[in-house]
Amino acid sequence: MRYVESLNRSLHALLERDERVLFIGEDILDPYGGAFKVSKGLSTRFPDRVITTPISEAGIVGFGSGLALRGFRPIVEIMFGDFIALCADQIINGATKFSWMYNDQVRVPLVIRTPMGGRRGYGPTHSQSLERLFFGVTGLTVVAPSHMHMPGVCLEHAVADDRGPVLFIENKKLYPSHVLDDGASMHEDFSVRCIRNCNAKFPTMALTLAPSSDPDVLLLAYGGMASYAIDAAHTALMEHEVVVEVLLPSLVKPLPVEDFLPSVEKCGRVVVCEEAPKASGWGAEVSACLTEALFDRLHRPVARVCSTDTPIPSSMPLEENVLPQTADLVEAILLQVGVR
Amino acid sequence: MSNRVAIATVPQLGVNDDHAVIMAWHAEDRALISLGTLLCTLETTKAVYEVHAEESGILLRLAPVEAEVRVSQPIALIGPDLAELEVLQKERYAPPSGKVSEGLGSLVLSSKATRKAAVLAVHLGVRLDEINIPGIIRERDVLDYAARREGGTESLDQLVWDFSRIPVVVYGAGRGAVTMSESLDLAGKHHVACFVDDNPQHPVELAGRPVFHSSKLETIVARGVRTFAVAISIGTVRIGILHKCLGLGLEPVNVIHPMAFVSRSVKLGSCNYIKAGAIVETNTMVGDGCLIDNGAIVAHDCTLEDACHLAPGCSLGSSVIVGRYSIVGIGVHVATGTRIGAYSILSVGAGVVRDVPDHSIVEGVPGRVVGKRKSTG
Amino acid sequence: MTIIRRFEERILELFSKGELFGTTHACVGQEAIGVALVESLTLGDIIISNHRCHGHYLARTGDVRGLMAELMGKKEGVCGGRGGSQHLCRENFYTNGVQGNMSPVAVGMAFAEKRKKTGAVTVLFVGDGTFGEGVLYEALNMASLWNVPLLLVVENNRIAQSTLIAKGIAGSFVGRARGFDIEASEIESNDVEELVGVLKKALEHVRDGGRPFVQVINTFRLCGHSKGDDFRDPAEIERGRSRDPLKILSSRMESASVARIDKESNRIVKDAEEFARNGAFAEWSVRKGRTGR
Repeated sequence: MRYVESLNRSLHALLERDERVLFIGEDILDPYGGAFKVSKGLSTRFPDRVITTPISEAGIVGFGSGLALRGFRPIVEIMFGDFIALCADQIINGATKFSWMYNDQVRVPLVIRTPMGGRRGYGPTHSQSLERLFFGVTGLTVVAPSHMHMPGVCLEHAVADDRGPVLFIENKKLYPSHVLDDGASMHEDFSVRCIRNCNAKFPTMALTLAPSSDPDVLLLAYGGMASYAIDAAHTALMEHEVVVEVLLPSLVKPLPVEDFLPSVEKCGRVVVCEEAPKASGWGAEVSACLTEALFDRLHRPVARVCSTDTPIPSSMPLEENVLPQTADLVEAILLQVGVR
Repeated sequence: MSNRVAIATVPQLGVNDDHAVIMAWHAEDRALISLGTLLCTLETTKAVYEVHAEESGILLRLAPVEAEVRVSQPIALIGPDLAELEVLQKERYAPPSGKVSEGLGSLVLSSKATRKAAVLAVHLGVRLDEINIPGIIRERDVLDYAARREGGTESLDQLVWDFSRIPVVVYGAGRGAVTMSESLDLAGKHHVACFVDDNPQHPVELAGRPVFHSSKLETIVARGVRTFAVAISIGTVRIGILHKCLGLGLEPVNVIHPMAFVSRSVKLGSCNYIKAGAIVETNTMVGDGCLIDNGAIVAHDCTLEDACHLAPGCSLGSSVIVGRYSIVGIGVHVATGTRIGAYSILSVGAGVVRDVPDHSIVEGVPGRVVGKRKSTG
Repeated sequence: MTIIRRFEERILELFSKGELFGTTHACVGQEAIGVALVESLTLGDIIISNHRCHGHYLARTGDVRGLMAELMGKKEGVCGGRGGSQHLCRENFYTNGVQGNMSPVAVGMAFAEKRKKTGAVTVLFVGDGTFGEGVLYEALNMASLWNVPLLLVVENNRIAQSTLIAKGIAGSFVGRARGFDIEASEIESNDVEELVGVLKKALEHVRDGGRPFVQVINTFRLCGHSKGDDFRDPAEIERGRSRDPLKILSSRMESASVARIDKESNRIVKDAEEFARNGAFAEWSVRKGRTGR
């Protein structure tokens, strides 16, 4: 099953099971079925529960908040994650505040879904990973499943979460990728396990090529960076005999630190990567949390592999220079073990 | 032209070099060459070396330019029949079916074994498909298999024990390791249980002790050897191994020959080696992984940063600072208060009277900067 | 209305004495609108208000004690002290402090009620200044497109903080509404009895007609925007006093009734003040989470 199919199936299931679920977004009606076809078939099957909107990102997020406050379970799609900047006030000063500032009298079970990420040549305003701007927003949960999770299942859990709102990040490059089916291992030779120390609904997947050895280095990634992390781990072992354990959380905020700690304790060398610039990003948060929790067990500072501090160009060779690649991850891994 | 196929391999280029880079090929691929033809030039950290054909015949290159190759690695085939050479290349030295990495196109790479395992398998004459383990085959798996096949030549029962002393594993099994082993012996507190080395073609035994491959290190630790010393002359490698061993929980030891004088006020880091006749005077500070050779004189209040090598008979005046990874050559004199930058080489007999910048090569009396040290070997 | 007036006057006093937290936006002079509206509201109807919400709140809920306690930051406050003056919520009454940002939320709520077939109307209060915010136009577009039962009441006091309407708003409010195919009506009044009729009609239009409606009420703010920030021409403010809704209504009543109402209002406000003063602050383990682990 592909990532986009997993989402589509779960959306059908959600609308079928619960009348309160509404699907809202721009250009989502059949036959077009959404810019990335995630909502294909929904408006045909559930014509009165799928609402196509004007181009009003702030408006539709507020609209979703209003619906959520009055008993519905709206799923709002923002067509490109870059447009989430338009929704900032509604998210920051609306959806994520109502529950707390009204002294827990209300709930806002709103899910905002949006695709982020580059590597398709869409240019500076259609390639970003802007979820990092919302990491500091209290009251917001951010979920970003990779292809090693079941994105549809994550979405179902997000919609079912009473305590919303949830910002659900999909990586657009992942849409055609195959996802982890039960039992099937997609990356040959990797052994996969599922960690749920922190949150049973949004697990962290752990992958290693050498399950019988303690890892030399941990590599943390989420969303679209997952496949690069897995490739880097493969190269690290095959070319350099460095054992890397890849940790892929699906819950990005709040950070599921408990999922990482047992592995960090075993090896004390960590590399974090993200498809976004370094300053004050996800890697900064991971680094700070791990340092606070396990300073004595870290042999070296947590290394961060990130995009360069520039907008993302459209020309593919230029874009490759900006976004982190497998080689960058391998380099960082080798530096952590002192081979470089 | 001979009938047999000759394999040109990478020679041992320096006592301390186990890698070289192919700078350029000078003989044409798949062309007829005669005995003595210059095939290629290899470069190490400090030298450039020419490889000549030892046979006449048709040349088939096995590695490209800029490839990093190991000592003893095959880099060319020479034989009477090109077709036969190509068959040989495909069978034994074929590039992998997937991505070919630079450097070792002579190996059979599979998705089930790491590159190092594949290299080792070639050296030990092991076929990877004979090794039956779950998961990816690593170097140590190849060694284990080879050992079991040969009836345990790498048996750890050969570790040497002396219960009145602390056992030490010496990392490195070259000639320097023999000297270090004697220093430890004479110093009286430690004894060498064994040596380990990264080179899969290490000697089986050295100075009456067994030599194991470095992949056995964890097992050696498990057997009870908790202390290590590093007998490697290349500074960066030495430091890398220092960290690796620390990571395994081993304790480093500073090896000091009883006939060296080290003042009590000297501050030593870890994993340093001070040889017979060396003098290190009061209040000098030494970092990690330094090598102070026979008869080297370090006056008071000097600072030696990590991984310096002070060669035999060199003398440092007081308050001299030597930057990390620098080499002070045999018989070099360094004037009082001079600062030697990091990664520098002071050539034999130089007389250094003024500060030396990082990465410099200095020659002569008075010392002049004659070049830049281009790598950190 | 008197209660509201006395309340607002008292809190302005308390603020200037430094006894209340933060800031507030009193609605002195605009009391008639909220009071007139609630006459025609049913239990299920929703009100969404803004930073200048006390009048609306008190008219709708009568919860003088809760509001005073909220301003004093106490746990018996409407939101336990968390929201303060601008962020209130009680049953179907919601406010938020950022101009215009509740407008799409109001559309969502109206849409929800329509779907649930409750017949409820959502009333959204905005001011003239709110029409500078883009999201309000997004909301109007959606409201009209989807026929949501939304009543937008524009309290046009012709001044946004310190900016007179001439410098902030081009065109007209009614024109804007009609631009979205939304019917609109405008009236200049501070007469509560007159406004009752106007707002009743407006609500009916929405409830029975199933279309959104915009009711513009031109009024006058007799106090500053928040506290001590009124730089209008004093003569103009004086003229405004003649349109004081309390004056207008009490001129039609017997002075004895007026005095009685006055006395009662004072008592209610005083009681609320004492209630709030005696209340405790909400208990939280505030310290946790401030220093790392």
